[in-house]
Amino acid sequence: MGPKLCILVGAAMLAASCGGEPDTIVLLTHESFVLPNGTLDTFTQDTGITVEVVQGGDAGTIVANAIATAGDPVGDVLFGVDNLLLQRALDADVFVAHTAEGLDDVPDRVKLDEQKRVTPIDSGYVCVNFRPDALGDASPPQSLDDLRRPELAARFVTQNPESSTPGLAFLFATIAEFGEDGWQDFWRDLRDNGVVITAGWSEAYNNYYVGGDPGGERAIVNSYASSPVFEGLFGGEEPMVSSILAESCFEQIEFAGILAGTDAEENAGRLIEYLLSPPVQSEIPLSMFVEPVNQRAVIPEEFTRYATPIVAPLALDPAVIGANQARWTQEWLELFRE
Amino acid sequence: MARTVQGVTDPPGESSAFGRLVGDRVSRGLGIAVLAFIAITVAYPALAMVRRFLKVAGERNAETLSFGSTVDIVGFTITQAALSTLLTLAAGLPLAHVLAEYSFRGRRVVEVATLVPFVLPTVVVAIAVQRALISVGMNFDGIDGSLPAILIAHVVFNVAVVVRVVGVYWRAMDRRPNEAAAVLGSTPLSVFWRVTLPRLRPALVAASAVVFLFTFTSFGVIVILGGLSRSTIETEIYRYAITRNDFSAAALLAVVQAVAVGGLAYLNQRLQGRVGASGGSPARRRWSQTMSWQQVLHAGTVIVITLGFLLSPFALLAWRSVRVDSGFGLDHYAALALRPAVLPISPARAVVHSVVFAAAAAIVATVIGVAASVSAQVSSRLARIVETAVLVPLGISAVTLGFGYLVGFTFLELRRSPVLVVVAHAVIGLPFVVAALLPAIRSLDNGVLDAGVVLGATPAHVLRRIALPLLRPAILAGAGFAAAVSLGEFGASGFLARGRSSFTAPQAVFGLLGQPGADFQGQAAALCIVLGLLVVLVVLLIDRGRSTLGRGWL
Amino acid sequence: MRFGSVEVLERVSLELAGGEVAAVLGPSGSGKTTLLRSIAGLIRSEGSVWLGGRSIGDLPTHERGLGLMFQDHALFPHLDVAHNVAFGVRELGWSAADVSDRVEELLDLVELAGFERRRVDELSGGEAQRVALARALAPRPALLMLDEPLGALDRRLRDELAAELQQLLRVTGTTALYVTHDQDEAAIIADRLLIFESGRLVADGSPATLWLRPPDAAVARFLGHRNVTDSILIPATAVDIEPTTASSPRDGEVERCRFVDGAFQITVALGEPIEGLGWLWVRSGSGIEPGSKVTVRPNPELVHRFSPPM
Repeated sequence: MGPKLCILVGAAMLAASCGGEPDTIVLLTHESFVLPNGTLDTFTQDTGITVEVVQGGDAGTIVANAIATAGDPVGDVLFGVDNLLLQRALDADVFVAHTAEGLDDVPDRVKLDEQKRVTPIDSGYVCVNFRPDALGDASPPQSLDDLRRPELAARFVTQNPESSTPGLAFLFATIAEFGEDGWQDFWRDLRDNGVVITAGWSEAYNNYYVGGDPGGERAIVNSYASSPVFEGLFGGEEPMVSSILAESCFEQIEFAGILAGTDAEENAGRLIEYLLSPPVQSEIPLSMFVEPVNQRAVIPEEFTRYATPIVAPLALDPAVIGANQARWTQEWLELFRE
Repeated sequence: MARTVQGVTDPPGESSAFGRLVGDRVSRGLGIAVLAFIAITVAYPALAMVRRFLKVAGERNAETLSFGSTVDIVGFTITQAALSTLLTLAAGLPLAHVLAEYSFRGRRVVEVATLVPFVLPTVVVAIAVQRALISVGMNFDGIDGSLPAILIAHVVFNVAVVVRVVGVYWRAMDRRPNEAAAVLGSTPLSVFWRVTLPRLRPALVAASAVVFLFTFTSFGVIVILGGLSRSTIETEIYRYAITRNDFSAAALLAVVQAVAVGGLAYLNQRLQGRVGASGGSPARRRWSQTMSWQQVLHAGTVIVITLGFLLSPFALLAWRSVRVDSGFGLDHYAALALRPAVLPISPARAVVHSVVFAAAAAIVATVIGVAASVSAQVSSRLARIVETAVLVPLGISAVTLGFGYLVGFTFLELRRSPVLVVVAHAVIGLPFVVAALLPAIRSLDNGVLDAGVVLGATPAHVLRRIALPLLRPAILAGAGFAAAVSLGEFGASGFLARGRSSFTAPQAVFGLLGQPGADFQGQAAALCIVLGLLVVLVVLLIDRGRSTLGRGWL
Repeated sequence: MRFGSVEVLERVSLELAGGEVAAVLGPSGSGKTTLLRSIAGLIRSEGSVWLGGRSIGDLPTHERGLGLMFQDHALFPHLDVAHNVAFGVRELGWSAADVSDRVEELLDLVELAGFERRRVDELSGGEAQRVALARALAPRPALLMLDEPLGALDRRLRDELAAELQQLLRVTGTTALYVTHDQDEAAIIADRLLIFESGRLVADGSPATLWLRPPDAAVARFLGHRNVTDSILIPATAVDIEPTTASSPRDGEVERCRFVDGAFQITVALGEPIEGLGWLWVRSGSGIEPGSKVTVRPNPELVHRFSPPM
């Protein structure tokens, strides 16, 4: 990031302002980025490159950050742009291309940019979760289409696609499932049958969903494939674990990219390769609770104990998302304001 | 002696004793310094954001705002802020009155307890209010949203402003005019309407302005409780900038917001007027040492109802924080020392970071706020501009400021520096300091200051030995506010890219609330309780300086 | 010894001798407070102020070395009694021991020994007044100015404190300007009265002189005389009155008789005006029933004729 000036503003504020090593690179990422302590130290030991992690809001915010600062970025590498946001970042030319070593071990399904401006790192799923025991006399959903049934829609809570990423992914899931011609009818049925829409994930899960804390009365919630894993691992001694409606899952792939305007392009590339390497990839399941994309990574048993395998996730081409998202969300809003 | 000097008088407000002591030159210098600070930390980044957003948008001007919808949004923004302000005043005045009129053990604790909701991130308050309203049977389908719910959350959050800003002023007010009115046959209610309220005007206007602008830019509460149909300028700026990346619309709304805020701040300044000294010497006040049973009943009822209302979200969290698998325990508190799987550091360390930021932000806000109040109390054009300008940061979108810092402070790599976090917190704390201090300066007893000068003290000595001790409660109230705002702030600083050394408690709360798992929910609740108790402790601690009897020298 | 010369308000000029206590008397709005504030430098005015041969008119207030006791005392609410009294001497840089000696001395003087640690909001009106006096006297001001210091107190306490104050000022040899609107209070306190009217000094003299020989009718009326015309003053105490049965033109009839301040105040309607006066107010040791016929005889030595205006 060029020569740095050390600004003395008081002891507490030194950390980020100071540092003259030319081999420091800055990783800009979202607030959910977590790796075990020491993972990045290993990279420093191996390469002599120090990584400064800076976090700034959720994925949407850091992508907006990268677009607003395009050409004069806050960091050298951005991690956390996903397939929902990918097109707008690519359109704004915020990344430079880089062919990462190790990409051969990654399935083609997740390589969404042919020009390799971004490198896939992990993959998770937004899925409908439910508690079969809380459904009363209603039979459990077998497909996305089942949710429009009055007794299920009335027990379903999901999020506003304009203020929530899982909400947006679920909207995309319905569009992928029912197509341009069918998704609005599906939502009309949800609406007429009493679905609840919240602004964010937390209110839906914790204030309405029966499995939340303190929880509400609704038996079905739009959440993540990883939610049962969290419930299992961090839900106390006898955890209650939600079921996943595998047919509803929309894949969310996270990428890393080198930010255009960096003067540490080579070191940035080495960091991306490190993130893609099997040792780091094997850490991902239990630190970020998503699946690694590198097939040589080892997935711990703890993660798979509560995880439901998703074999055929729903997907939309990022280019299609980029071209239509504003229209879709506007139509969705108008449908609910009718 | 060519000219007659009869008619030499000392017109109240024109040139107060305080103003003479400070001197025109110093007032002007301080005013210019404050304006420079605001220009650098607010105006420049806001302009940088608008410029950059319009440039990024370029020809990709996919969607433009319709005039009609913009008018609707501005209308709702102002309406909900005005209603929130009125309700907050109505909810806060009874307690401000009790705290001003009575002296009793624990009075300070009650006063400080109102600050507790203030340190919780607004999103947490909004979630808690939603939970409480669902539990009492209010129907949220999440689609229509609920204006009453928005107002309730805003009141819970802002009552502290009224209680502290008005309460401190009220307590220092000479009560003889009220007694005179009572003797003239006014009922207590009529005394309140005809004497007390008009005399409280400077503090009421100051508190109202802060509450109004705070709710004007409210974000989390509107998004969570407003449903799909309620949006404000603030939520729309976020939506266009972050959700849709329609930067030109976001920039346009940012300009609309800035213009509206400028106008409102100016209006406030006109409303406040030059209400001069409240006169009389506060020293004449006496509090009866023992309260009658009616007074105890009155104070008790007001305290229980107001605090019960304010602290109910907090009580839910307290209950949650001690619930563990095996029943009740402090396991969640103990767990705060360890790094949970979803956070980069332990919540305890995040709290330490928050405290450091709060201290730094409170110091900066207090220094600038004192300068602003001193320069704003004289009557001059510059003073009016300063008074208007300090309010503006409250009314500027977090998106505008946050992105303004990102695109404006590219030099010296300030963007990733914690200095920006401190600045972002301090500019939000600044209006609270001024709201607490300016009415106090205006109501200073000029006679006491004159007495000091006549006794041979230099102006600097009078300011230090008399004015400063008399203003100390107001300064500390402002500093406590600035610290509390900083502890819970998650606006502009939420958009800054910051390192792990700047990871703060609100971020930790969000991280914990962002995933299922009873352990995380319990720890999030425990963390909120720690933050709440922390603010009570910190504010009580800085308030200990209030009792300065006999320590006026140096 | 030329002590001080003050010119304020429509070319007012006055001088005080060392140790002299002068009362500034006048109705509200006559400029009394403005005079004190001008001398103190709290408001700007043209003119000069001399103190012991030194011009202090251009000095800032805090360097003038004056004392001022405010109408509402203006005690420092954040300081206790001792610290209030000590305020001025500390500004002079006295040592802590000297300061505490001086505080003790003054609290003894105003009979408030033992009040050192009291909060000022716990003091009664009289106590607050005495603390304010002690505070003003502590730095030994060359001139002490008192602005209606007894204004808010009740009559009896006022007279009592005025007497005490007079005693204190004499004992300490303090030169003082005492502003009041109450002439009795002024007469108790001061050797010299300065009467102000609409910003002008209209009379200057000892209480007795001004009472018996005021410079003009306005001053006479201000001082409370009732038997006043533009040319003559007949003090109410300077009239002999006795009942009569005869019916001479000099006789009159008693309209009212009231007992006020230890004497009877008798209003007489004259059969024939004296020097243009149709009524005469008389103070007498014995009362007379209204309706009685009386003979009145002003004592010619005490009747005062105003010198014609120049």
